[in-house]
Amino acid sequence: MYDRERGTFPGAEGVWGIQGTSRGAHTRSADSRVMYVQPWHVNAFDGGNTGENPEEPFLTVTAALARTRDHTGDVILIGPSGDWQYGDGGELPGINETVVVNTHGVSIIGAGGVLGSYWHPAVAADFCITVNGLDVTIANICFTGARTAGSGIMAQWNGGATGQWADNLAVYNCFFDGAIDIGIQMNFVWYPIISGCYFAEGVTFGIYQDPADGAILGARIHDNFFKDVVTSAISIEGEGCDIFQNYFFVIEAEAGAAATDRMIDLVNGSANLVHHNTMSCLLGAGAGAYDDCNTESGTDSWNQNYCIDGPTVARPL
Amino acid sequence: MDARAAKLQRFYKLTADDAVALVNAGLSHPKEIKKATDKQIRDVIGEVVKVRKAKK
Repeated sequence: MYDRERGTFPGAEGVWGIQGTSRGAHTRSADSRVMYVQPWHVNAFDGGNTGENPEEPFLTVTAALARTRDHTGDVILIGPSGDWQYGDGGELPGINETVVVNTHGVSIIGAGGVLGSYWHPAVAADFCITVNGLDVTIANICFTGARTAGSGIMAQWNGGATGQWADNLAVYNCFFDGAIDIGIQMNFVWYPIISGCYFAEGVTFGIYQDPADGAILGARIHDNFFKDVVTSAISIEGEGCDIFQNYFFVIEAEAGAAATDRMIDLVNGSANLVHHNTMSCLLGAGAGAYDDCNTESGTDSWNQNYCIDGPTVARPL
Repeated sequence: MDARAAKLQRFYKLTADDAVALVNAGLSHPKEIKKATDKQIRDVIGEVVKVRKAKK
């Protein structure tokens, strides 16, 4: 039977048993800090706090990040809140920050809500989380632009001499609501894993690399659902990426209207394997069909992708 | 060799000397290499083709 927990290190404990976090690379060491962030908690404070007592959590992720150390497996757990956009108006506010993660090996894990712990950007049009560090895991976060429109995660080379590249990024089980502009953007990131995420109707790009930026190498992108993503669900100059078992629904494609590159666009990449994805389009080259919704790199292998009228082993032309 | 040169070396399959030369010339990321003119690149590593991948 197909097991979505691909890449799991058998026997390695996850974070509180949260699905998708049990990777060998992120197994906590004896010295790991587990820090709690819950802005609405009556005893929450930042200055002088360790954040390691759940009854005295940090107010902000920024304060928790300041206590993280490279390659120690430090974990930031974000508690539940009442910040769902259709909820009580944020009386129990979630995270309202834009943060930069420079620590290697840190995990930011949402511990609340079915969609994850709610997080909206503090600055309009900015990313909630910018990742420069290596081996960073982000899991179970609901990124919402409902209060302040912005984007989700930016993982990038930071331009410094130290060579921080945001390689080996893992994003599991995150939700990007329809007011989020770009879900996950990457720049010259190698070997990222993006799994189990939901990109809602209205997101402009689900997984994106600016064509002027460095290509994405060795990504594994699987088990994500892209619902009417506006411009392109996956638009990267992928090189040797494995893109499988994702689900794409585009209403225009389903109805036979033009939907150019609305699903997967790998132009200028090379040697990607794209297989077992389900797409709401017809086979062939018509408006909104397989060839219209997708673009391959020229050297990819596209195997057994499922369209409305059957599977195809052809590359989209 | 620093991390930037190491990554460029592997990405473009360059020699170590070429990768270091590009970084030293301020071309330490594919983004900058894409923006650079052919002459700029040729002046640093001799051949443009080393960092200009075949396009579709």
